[in-house]
Amino acid sequence: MKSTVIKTEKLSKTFSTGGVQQHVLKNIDLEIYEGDFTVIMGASGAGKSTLLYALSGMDRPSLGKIEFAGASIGELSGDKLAVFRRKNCGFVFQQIYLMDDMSLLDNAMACGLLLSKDKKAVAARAADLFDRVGLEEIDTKKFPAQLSGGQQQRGAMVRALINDPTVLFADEPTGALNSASGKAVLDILTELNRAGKSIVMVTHDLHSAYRGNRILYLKDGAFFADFDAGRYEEADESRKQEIRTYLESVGW
Amino acid sequence: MKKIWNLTKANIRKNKGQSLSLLLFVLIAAVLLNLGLMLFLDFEKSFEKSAREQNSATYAVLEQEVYYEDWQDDYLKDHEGVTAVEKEDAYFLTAEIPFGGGTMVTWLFFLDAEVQREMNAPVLTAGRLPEASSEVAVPSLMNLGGGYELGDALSFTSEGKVYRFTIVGFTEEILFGSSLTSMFRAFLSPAGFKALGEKNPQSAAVVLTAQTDIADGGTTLSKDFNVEYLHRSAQASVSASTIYTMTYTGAKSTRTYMSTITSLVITAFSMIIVLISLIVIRFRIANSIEESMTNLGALKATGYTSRQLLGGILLQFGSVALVAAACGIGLSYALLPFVSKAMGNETAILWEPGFNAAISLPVAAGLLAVVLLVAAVSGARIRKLEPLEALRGGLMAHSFKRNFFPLDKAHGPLNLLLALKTTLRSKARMVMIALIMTAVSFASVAGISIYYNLGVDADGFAKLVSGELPDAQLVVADTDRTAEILADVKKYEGVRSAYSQKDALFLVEDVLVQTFATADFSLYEGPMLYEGRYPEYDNEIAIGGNLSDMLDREIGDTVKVGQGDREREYLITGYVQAANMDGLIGCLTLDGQKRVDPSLRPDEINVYFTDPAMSADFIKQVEKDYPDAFTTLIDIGPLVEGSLSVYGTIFGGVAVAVLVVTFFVILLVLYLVLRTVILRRRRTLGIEKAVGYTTRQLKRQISLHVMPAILVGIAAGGTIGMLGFNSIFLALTKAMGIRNASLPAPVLPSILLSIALVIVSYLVAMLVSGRIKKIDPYRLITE
Repeated sequence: MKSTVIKTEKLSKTFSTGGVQQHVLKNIDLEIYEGDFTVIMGASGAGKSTLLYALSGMDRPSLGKIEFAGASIGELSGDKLAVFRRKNCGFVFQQIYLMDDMSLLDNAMACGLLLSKDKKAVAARAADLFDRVGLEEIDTKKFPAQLSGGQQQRGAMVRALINDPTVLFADEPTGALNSASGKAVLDILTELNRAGKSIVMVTHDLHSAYRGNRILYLKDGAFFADFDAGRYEEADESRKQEIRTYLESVGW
Repeated sequence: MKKIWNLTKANIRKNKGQSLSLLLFVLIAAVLLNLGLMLFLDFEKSFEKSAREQNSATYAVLEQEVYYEDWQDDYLKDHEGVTAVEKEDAYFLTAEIPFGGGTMVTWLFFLDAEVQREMNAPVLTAGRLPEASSEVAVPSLMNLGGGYELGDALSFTSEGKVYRFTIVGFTEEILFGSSLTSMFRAFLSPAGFKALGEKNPQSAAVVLTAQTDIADGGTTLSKDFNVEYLHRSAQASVSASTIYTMTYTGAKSTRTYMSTITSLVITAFSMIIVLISLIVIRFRIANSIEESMTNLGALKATGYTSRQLLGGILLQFGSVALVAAACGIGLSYALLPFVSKAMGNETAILWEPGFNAAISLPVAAGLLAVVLLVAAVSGARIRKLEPLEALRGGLMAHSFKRNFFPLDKAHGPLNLLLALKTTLRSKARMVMIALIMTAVSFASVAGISIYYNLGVDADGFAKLVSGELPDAQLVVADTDRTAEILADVKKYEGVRSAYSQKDALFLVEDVLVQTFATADFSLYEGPMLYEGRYPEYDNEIAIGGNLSDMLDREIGDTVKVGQGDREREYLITGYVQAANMDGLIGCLTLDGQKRVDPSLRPDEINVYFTDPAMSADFIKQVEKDYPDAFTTLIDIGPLVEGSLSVYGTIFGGVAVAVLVVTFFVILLVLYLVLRTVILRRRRTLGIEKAVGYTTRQLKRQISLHVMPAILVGIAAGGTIGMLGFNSIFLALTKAMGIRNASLPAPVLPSILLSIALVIVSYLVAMLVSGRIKKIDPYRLITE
């Protein structure tokens, strides 16, 4: 029996643009389970990223409830939500979003020191994570602009993991990378998930979707389908075929 | 042109807050500049206009009748440039008058209101001329500064006698009638005038007034007359109370002195504000170009020329400056009546300022010109901007700078380290903030220091002005008794020190100089001597700094000192300072004074007490013990307090104005800077929010990052203000004769003020950076 880490009830999100109401998410009831690699897919504008940022407490729902690690995050104040995020959420963005004016190490330290005052311990953990993401050869005192896109994204993953978050949220993490760098990033995510890390990833890329053991499909802001894809094995072509077939069946 | 105007409107609409803050900057500068210049130029003109309307004399001599000789009015009539001379009988008293809550000791002379006079006939500002013998018309200062109203009793003491009149009129005075000129003119009815003469025949005096073909002619006339007077004087012992002279030029400079220094302070401060405005405008334009880079690229790509884009910027800042200058000048006219009233209380000049195009139009044009110039220079880089480069957001110059405060090694709280990282990466911005904070904190601390020394603890200032400031001064009627009374005075309870002195008017190289002589200068406690030493031998003299400049003589040189047909040579041993006779003073030994006038004997006794508050009781007692022995007994403390209260009030007002403006400057500068910082760093702030930084932490980071520049600026400005205020004070008082001031810096108030400025800055920064609270991290990253 899997334990639920995030649960939503009638989650809705409405944007108002120029007086026009746009319902991006509509009454979504959803549970995210611990240890899962959950992939959220859907056409452009389906509300994938909106759902991800609502689940992670980066954005607030217009209606509905979100329970995350036992906390009703929709009711938390802005600052309490920030404190919640630093403990429970790690983020990997498509645009990477490292802080340009800080070294790679400082990007990780600036996040790690939010939870621990022990600089040595945080620095040691950062060094370990840099090794795990394959940046052991890189001078982490370099600024992001001195690194390749793939190196930057791996550096961003170190930052996301430095506080050992409950869930790692990834929004199109390979979207801005070449295929080799993208694969390396996906390999790291897969490895992390195998080690027990819960991951929620938004993607429209089929190769990325293969990595998830659960695929959710959104259509016009509503929860349309939920597919149990089983664990990722690189050589398992039949699994990939099943996923492709499933996605085609839901209109992808 | 229409396209440029459309661009301008769009820019102003887009940056409403920033346009408003720039408008406020220029508005404050315009208010202060117009106020300062109006006060400097228009106030004096108002005095000149009144003088013309009153057909004022340019020179007046007041002397006791016994000193008057027939040659005097002939000399004046025959003097080159003199166009008219009048002679009039008067009664002349040294009076102690209740004034504005204190006591004013002044010379007061009475004239018959019905005597016909061409020059300075009484001009009433309220009431009427006296008709009954108990009625009096007095200078309007008695109303403005002294608090007297029509119908009030004017009761004063002179040489132990009490006089009482009813005030029925206030007059506008040119030469007499300001506490700074120490001479008041009052009008009595013919019956009252006659009665006063009968009561006080010894107070009979003569007033000689002369008019010259040029307004400044009185200065030359005064110098020549004084020389002639002292050469011809058959009377011995000519002291400052024997003859009183006043020139129109002297009265004007004395009575416009406060307005001049106030206007200088306001104008100087307005210049600081103008400078700050220009720095901020430059900063804003540079940032505006950065922020609108893509828009500029798009506009250039669609065919807008650099000239049109620059024209838009010029029109944007120019229109803001023009509106601000117009509003500021308008506001300054609304404030002028209050300034006029504050000045009137002290100068007794009725100033009714109206719109003065000769001052206000150049102020508006000047402000507009400097704003346009700075906007043109700052916006010039648009010309070099290629459309493609702009569309790409400008040339992203990645400067791989030092990683300041690496978080794995640096010590200190996380938020402080992150703030300091930002500080060190924005050096130009920090220099700008530091410069601005230096300027405003310098102005604030200097303003507070001057106010403190003039308004709160004016003892040091009073000593500088007076040279020697005892707790009590007695003027002995019979100089044969001075030594005996002095010996007794020293035995009174609480008397710490007492000495006798004599002041006498001599000609030093044909310049009229007030000289002081005493047996032992070591008993002088005031800061009179500021270089060299007091005279020790009878052929030595210490002279005023202004006299030294005028004569071009230094310590070690000799000067000729004379009176009548006697003239002796003296060696200059030191420089002294006091505001008497604009610093034309000197110190001699008693024997030195006698070399010129053997008849001179000390008649003043200066007394210091262990507690200055004992002075009042002492005076009562000594008056009782020695009836009729003194012509004057002065409790100096209340006198000084009364006469300096006006300085305190005016400089208090200036200091408050400086502090208020400083607060607004801090508010506006931090608003502009932090708003720009938040805009430019919104992505980084969004990332920090996303990874778990709270709004409070980010506000603290944003606020802390400007604090080093603020601290440096306030420390520098405060220190310069504390150390430099004596120099500012000297620049303002040099003309009075003050040459060397070491007024105590009010360290604690200055430090408290500096700390308050730091706290205010931090709170304002926290307030301004509060705007990030409303923004979701998701939007901060993606917008």
